[in-house]
Amino acid sequence: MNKIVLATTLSIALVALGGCTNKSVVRYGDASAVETTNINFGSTDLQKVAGQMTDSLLLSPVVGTLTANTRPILFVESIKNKTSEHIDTESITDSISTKLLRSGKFRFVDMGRVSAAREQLEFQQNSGMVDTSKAIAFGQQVGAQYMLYGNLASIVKSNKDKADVYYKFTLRLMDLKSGLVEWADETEIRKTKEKEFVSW
Amino acid sequence: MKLISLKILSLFSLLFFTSSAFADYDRNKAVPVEKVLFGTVISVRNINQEELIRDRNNGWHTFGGALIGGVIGNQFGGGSGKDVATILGAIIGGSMANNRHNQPKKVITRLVELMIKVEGGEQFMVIQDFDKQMIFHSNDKVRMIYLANSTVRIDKQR
Repeated sequence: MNKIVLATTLSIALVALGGCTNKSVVRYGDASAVETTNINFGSTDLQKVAGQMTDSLLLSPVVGTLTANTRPILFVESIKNKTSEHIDTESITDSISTKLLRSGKFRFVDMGRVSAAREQLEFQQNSGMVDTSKAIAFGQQVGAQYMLYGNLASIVKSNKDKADVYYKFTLRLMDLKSGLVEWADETEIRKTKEKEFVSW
Repeated sequence: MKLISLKILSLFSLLFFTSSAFADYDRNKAVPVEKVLFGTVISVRNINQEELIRDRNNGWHTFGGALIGGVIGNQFGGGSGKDVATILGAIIGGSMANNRHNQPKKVITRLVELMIKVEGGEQFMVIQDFDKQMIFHSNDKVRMIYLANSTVRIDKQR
């Protein structure tokens, strides 16, 4: 009798423990939803920075004049990350350049792919596999007229109850011929984290 | 026979009690920064705490000489403007502090010595903890981050 009781108790315990097992669940989420996992630079900050900067650039009267009759050629220099965080600033510039290209007002040269393009041209010219009359010759590419560059800086203050992070993203557009900065703007993000005292 | 067994035992105990001290930096944390310099890695050398002790006994012949006028940063303290030998001493001090109980335990602190040329042309030697999450190579584009706690940390730009 005792054995039956023991076996039943063990079975119930096993079922109960099974019910408590941690399970990993994978779900799809909204890529543009606000992310507040922690105070560090995140996807919402990247989207905000890229969106605001592109809107500002496209709505600027100076840029309106520059793009009135032509599509200027830009090159994006890397964003200088002056924060303590390891942020992929190339991802910010990728978002900005993609939005600008989609606007149809600018064209871009990609300095990150120069060696790959050179390799392809060398293949066309020297491999003997491509019809030389149709192969693309060296020295025909067009250079950039403007350079887009910027900085990402942060100021961090914290004590045991509160943390405050302030990000400032600055972007500038320089005319490579004259050296003049034709447009500049900055956007700010402030994030705070406080301990919440729950009472009931 | 007895002697061979003793040697094998010693070897095993050495292997058993030897541990490598790694320090994976939390590079995704927003902390106060004083300034950031941008540069390129000229050379990388992995060193350990034992080499530093040997060099201390040798009068800081290798590291002390190479680091004069440079900047050194690590998790144990230090920073620009401090005496190099003192900082190297602090690294060893920090490592030795891990060996609290008088057990035959040998802690090897893995460090990486980076020679960096910043955009202005100046060169800096930085010793920091080896981080397996971020392995440095020559010609890597790096950021030299002067943190507000008087330490310096080297990060890859991408």
